Amino acid sequence: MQKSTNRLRSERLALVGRKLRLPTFYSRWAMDLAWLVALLPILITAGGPRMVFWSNLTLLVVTVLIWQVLFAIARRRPPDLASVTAALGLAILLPADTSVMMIIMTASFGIVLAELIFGGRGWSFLNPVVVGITFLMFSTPALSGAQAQVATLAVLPGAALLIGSGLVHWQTPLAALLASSTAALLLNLSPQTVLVDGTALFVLIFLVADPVASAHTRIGRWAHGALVGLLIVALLPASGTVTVQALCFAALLGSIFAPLIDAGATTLAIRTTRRARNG
Amino acid sequence: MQKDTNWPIFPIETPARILLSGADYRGLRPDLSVSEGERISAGQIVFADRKRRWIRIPSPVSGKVVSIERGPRRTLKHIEIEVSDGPETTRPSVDVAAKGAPARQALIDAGLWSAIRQRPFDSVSDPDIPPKAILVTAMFSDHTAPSLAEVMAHSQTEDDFVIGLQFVSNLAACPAVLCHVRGDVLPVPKNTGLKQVAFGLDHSDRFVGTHVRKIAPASTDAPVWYVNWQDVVAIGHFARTGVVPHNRLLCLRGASSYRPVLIRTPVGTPISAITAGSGAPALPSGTAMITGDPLQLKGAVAVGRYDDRLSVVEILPDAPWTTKHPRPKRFFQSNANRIGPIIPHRQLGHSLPEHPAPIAFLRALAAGDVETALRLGCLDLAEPDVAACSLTCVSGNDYPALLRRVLDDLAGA
Repeated sequence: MQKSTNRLRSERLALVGRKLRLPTFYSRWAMDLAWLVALLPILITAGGPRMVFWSNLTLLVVTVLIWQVLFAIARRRPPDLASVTAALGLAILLPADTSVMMIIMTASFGIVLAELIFGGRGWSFLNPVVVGITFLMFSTPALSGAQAQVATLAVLPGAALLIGSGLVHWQTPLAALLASSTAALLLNLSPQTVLVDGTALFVLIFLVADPVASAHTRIGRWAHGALVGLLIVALLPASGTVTVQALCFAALLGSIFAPLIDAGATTLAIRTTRRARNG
Repeated sequence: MQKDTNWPIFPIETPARILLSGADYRGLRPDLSVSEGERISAGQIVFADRKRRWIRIPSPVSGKVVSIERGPRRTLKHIEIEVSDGPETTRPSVDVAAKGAPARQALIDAGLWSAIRQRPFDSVSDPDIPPKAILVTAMFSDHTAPSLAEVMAHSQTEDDFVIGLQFVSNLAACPAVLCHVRGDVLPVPKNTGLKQVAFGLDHSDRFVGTHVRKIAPASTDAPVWYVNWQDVVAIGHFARTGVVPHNRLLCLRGASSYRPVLIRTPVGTPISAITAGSGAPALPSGTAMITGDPLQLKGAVAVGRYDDRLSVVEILPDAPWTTKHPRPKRFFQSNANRIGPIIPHRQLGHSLPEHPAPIAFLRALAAGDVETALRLGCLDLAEPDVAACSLTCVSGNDYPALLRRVLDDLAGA
């Protein structure tokens, strides 16, 4: 029955209302593949001719795949592409001078603790890239010298794909950008610090707004985005330049608070509708 | 949204045989009042429920009982009736202005009470538990169906509808609400406290769950009753003449090139009789007709008691291994029927409209978290309301079944 259900999906979707007919992905493989495609322009511009980048990337992918296969066998569940997406995200934010041992540790820590021990993508509430990079930054503070740089223009095609196909909600990154630029203005920092920074944009769209690690109610998405935006500004170093540490730590705190924000937003919504109905 | 202004109504030929399904009534413990080979007349009670005596199901046609097929655990699979000409069971007409218990009893006696269903649990209402509200679903479940005002004018059922509305709103001392599509002006009785609420044009605006959630959220002590407009017409006709009409209008539509039409046929008509060229347009090759909600694919062989639509869907070719070759063995064994992970995306949120936290609700269903599901309003909903979620969610979870599991837990508690 399930098989025939899947095969008749498109045919039956044509019989429902217009909102459900917006373009999107209806299978896990297509969805994960879309994330990979969205990451490609960023990888190409970030890597370029640097062999170190590509060898690091290969090491990350191999590490997460080993973990993925181990967990797939142990849990008797087929593996998916989500871990490869996580490895590519890690490659983008990884400082160039990271040692081989630290790369393996980062990838293992991120993928296992943020995703696989919960049962895989969709069961956890954290993004493995955020967890991995935060782990790396805390364990080796000296690394911060060679910061990753992402070109703003390279983020845009992927952002358009993810937001256009409904995999990522636009409210979360927008709320974060608005909150951070407002806070920067109030603190007499340049409001563009976060707005035009490619790394910040990448983190906001691919990591903060990750559907499994962000708030999923309408009010919750705005609140979660705003919280992350404020945290980014609060965690900026005295120089006012955007650092990967600040971004990832803000994203981590944000996704830890996201379930609480959702619970609050839901209670609020239930109470408001009840009052509107009775009043 | 496209609207075909010219929706012909096809009264298809009376089928040779009909199938009355017991599965239409959830949890039915049948008490049969007929036996195989017995001659029956239209309107005669064929079976009832052992415990819930208000569920009494009449035969929609006159004829002979050909076979009675039992399902597992003494359930009723179906009763097959060979149709022939015969007298119609008439009952003394009832007082149109009857109120409360006598009005309810009149419907139970006539076998019409099964039309009154309730949320929570989506079962036939218990007449002794006073409801919070009575909702009249004045729309087809298909969002591209023609305007009801046009259909009623065409089929001359306006008078019966008005009498039926009056009768239904007197069934219990609670507000009665007419749920209609925005812009549809329907005939209503004068000088009654009937409220009208308009709903939008999307397919989810036709879900009873959407209506209940918006107008009067249900609870176990205060259920919300709901009646389909066709049953209101039937009740009105019965109150006026003492005869229960058994024909239903079905909205027939295909996803692609099939011209939409309305079909009038008795409950229990096999789909094969509709497609066999008895008046309805012929099916294009490579397609099949299904009854009921196309989002659920229940695989019923005949028009059910509560169905108001037929859909023509394409039959897709089977995957190669299902027909000829055995499925290739997988290296990573996965347990079938496991709950899959939910990745929230925009479409999934739209699949459960007007809900404060659709993702949290679906996660609660997947986890079997009864308390959260209860807090997020699972008592207002039934299978058709969450069927779209199974289609849009990448997890492949069967949300109608998961919702029923939670509802069964709550009903048993």
